[in-house]
Amino acid sequence: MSHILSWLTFFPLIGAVVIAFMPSRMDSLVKWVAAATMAVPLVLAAQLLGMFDQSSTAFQLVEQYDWISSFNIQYHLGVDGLSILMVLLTALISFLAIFASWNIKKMVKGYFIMLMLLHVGMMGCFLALDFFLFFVFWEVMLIPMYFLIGIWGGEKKEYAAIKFFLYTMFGGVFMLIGMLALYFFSADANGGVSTFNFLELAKVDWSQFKVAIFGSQFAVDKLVWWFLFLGFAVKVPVWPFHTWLPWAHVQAPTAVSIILAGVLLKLGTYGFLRVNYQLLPDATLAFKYALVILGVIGVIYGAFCALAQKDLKKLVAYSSVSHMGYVLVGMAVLTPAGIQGAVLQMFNHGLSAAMMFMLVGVLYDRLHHRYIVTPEGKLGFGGIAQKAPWITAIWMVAVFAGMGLPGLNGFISEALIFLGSFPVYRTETVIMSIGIVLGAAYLLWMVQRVFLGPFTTLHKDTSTGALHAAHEIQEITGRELIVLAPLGALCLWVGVYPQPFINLMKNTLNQLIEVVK
Amino acid sequence: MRSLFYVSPPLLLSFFSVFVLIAGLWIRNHAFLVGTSLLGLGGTAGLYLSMIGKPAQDAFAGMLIFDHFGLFFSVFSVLVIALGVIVSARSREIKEDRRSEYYSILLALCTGLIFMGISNHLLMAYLAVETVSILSYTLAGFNRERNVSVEASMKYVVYGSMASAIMVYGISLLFGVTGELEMTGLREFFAKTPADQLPHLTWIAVLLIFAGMGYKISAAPMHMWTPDVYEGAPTPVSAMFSVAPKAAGFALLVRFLVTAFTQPIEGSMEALATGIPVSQASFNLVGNFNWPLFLMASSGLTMFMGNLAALSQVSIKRILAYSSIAHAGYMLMGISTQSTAGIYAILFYVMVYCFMNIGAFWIASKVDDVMGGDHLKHFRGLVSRKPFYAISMAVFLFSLVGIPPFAGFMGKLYLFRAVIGREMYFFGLIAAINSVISLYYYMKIVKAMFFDAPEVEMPAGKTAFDSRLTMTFIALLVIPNIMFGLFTDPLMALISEAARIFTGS
Repeated sequence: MSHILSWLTFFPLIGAVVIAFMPSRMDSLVKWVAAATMAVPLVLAAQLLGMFDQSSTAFQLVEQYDWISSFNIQYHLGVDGLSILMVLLTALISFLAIFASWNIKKMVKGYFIMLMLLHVGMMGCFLALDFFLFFVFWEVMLIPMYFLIGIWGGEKKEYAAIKFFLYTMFGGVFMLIGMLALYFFSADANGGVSTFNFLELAKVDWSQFKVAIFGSQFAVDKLVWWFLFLGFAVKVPVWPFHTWLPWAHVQAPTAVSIILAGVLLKLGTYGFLRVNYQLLPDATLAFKYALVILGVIGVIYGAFCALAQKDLKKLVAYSSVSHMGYVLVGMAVLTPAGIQGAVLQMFNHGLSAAMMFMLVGVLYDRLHHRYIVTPEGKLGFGGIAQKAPWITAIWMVAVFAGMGLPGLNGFISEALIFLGSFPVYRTETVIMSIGIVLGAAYLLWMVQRVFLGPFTTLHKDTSTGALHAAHEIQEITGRELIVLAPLGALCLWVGVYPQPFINLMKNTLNQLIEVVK
Repeated sequence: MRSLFYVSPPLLLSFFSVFVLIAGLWIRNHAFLVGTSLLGLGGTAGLYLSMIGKPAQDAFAGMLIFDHFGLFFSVFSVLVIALGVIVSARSREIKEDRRSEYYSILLALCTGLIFMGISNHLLMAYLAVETVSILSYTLAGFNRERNVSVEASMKYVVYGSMASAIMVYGISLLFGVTGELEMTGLREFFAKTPADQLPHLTWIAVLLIFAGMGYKISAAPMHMWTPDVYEGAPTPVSAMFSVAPKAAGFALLVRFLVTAFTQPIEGSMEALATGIPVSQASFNLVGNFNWPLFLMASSGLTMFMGNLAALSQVSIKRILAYSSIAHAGYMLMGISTQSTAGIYAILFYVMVYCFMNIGAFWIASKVDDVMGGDHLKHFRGLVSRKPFYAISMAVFLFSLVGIPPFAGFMGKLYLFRAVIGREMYFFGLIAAINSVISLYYYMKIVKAMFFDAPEVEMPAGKTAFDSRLTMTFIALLVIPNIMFGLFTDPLMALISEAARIFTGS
């Protein structure tokens, strides 16, 4: 199939148009149309995997056309070992998100249209090889995300939505300025023609350029590196730019949390590798220690915050901050093991965090609250294992994957990261390892309070808002299993036999290390 | 006679202006008035289109100038006024018994705007500015039954006459120093006079003239009239005010500064076309007055003033008024880069700004008509009532923020390209941070429309919302907001022709 990458990115737009013209009383049909639409990118992604040549480090299946010629902007897509796993993850998570949103009742059409636009933005970002195109997709994601949180979210949805929007936009404008600066300086090195092409920009030797700001001279690449860093750091989120994340997660509907944790956060770290690493290797080498420090802070700080949470979803949200810290450290150490671990951790966290948010949604759908500890100081859940063993079992898979228990995916990637970083930054790695202990602590403590012990689970009455004792909990349903089973199976697969996944990215990442070093 | 040819379109327009006024005495048919006005505007646009490709030329002994830059702004003014006529046609704010006067004034206003764009002589410019101002005072107070409208008109008169007094004082000082009022003559004077022999008075005079023009484009600190006037004037009038006089003011300002105080670097136009870095294609300053620095300060101040003041507003018209101040600040960036790329960016921005701003005002006007007000509470829950209007408004607002894939983003991008191309990073950053600030208040409107439950009772039955014609026209405004965000090449090709300012004879 030709233009597979374009189809992969834009096919959901067709579904969105179809849904837009469907009468709004056919809500259940809308869901099926959405599911059918999103199945197509999933199939295409599987087909892409078959076409992908993992021995090559070049971009594959490239599509390149002129788009805005007065700017020398191209429509330029391609896939390589760095993006292939993310593309698979995006296709999978977007598809599963449809099933995770089966309970949506308000403005159903609008909801699914927004999910599809979101897919276009995410997929396009991972595939774009033109900086401008990348930026457009990056910003395009904001609008559906804003509406998804703001219309279908929880009680403080407006605050969460605008906070998300402002933070990301703030990072975005810095990225825009950095991008334009690279664009202009590329002219001198590229035969007088400015370019946004990642491949061309990567060839430029930036060390020759200086800029003067208020009379002092700055090296262009060092300055721009920080501008781009800000743009991506907000998305990861790197401490101290993480404060939007708990809000967005807690207020977002389940499916949106899944996408947010599963794909959106990865865009930040992907951006570091694709842009900061590939385009500005010298600056990356100079500032990599900053990434390590911020990563370690993120790991420890996120874990401590998670430990203190009384809201189940907020706990999972802070665990994301902690887990993304590992990614940062892994890629900053510039060893093959570290960087492979980092990219694998992006993939793994996508699976396990998506699973956990889905499971939080499962509990919320049944009990209408998320209190580990209620505002009155009582346990909100307790002994769920007795009434719903299957829900508990699946929770355990997600929890252990998140903790990094051997046999599940989290272990592989975290082990790789530690393996890679220990020879380079010993002290920092040792400090970071506290994060593992803390991770076990907050997750197991949560398990203890939520699933073990006598059955004391509370149920929130949606009309009065009062909490009273629940009697039964419905077991996991088939629809929920559709979402959870593939994620759980993949967690197990990566945990037991990660080699195929590592093979996909190994060559590209090794070459990336060479570029930076 | 040759000169008459160049002013034939405004002459035609004046004829129609008078015709509508007189015919309106007998013919009260609304469709006839709108049709005649649109016919006049269409004829004018047609005459202009037939002039495309004619070589640049001055007319009436250097009083006026004919070039593609002026042509662009003339056609642009006609377009905006035509949109204004269409917006007004369905508005309830224009009372039935004075429609013919209203359309007559609109056409006359358009004549004034055209002259602002093509004047090459400061006295001519002053006359054009005054024509526009006096007609604007009338339009602002057109709802004379409403106190706010009268108040708006009064404020406009006071500020306006102050500004034009300052401007004419500046012009007289400049004449005293240089003995010239023709812009091309001014440049010759500055080019041949050594910089150290110019008295400081010259630059004070230039600042005073800028004050007059800055008032038209509502640049800080001459912006104070804007929110009150936009709020008090009938909404269709505010829609036009926020675009047409502002664009004409920019045309005049660019022409004045570029013609009188710069020397184009050899081959810069050709350089830009072939993709040479923009930083090299620019103008040399004539004289020792660093007006770009001054404009930069004014631009930064204007952005902050507009955006920060908009944050706490609850009236949509006031929000849009402050936003239009902020946008004037963005556009001023373009001139302060003193580069061709900056002028390109201004022309592009003016064009897309017209589509997004008139669209936003139009929907505000509809909501005002139906719900009885233009406060945030009147917008609450609009999406569940009239999804078409809510979604269109969201597109206009996202475009105003400058988020891709909407046209406003490309507009900002061209401006940023000009700024970053000149290595003015700090300035670029200030503008970028301002667009983040602006996000908040635009999203306040989106939040009200999409997230909040309806608050104000909507009248039952058929309302102004249900007009198919209005919806079609609004859709026609939505389309360029998306199209120019994705495909800018055709518009840019047009603009690269239009940016040729005729600088000498």
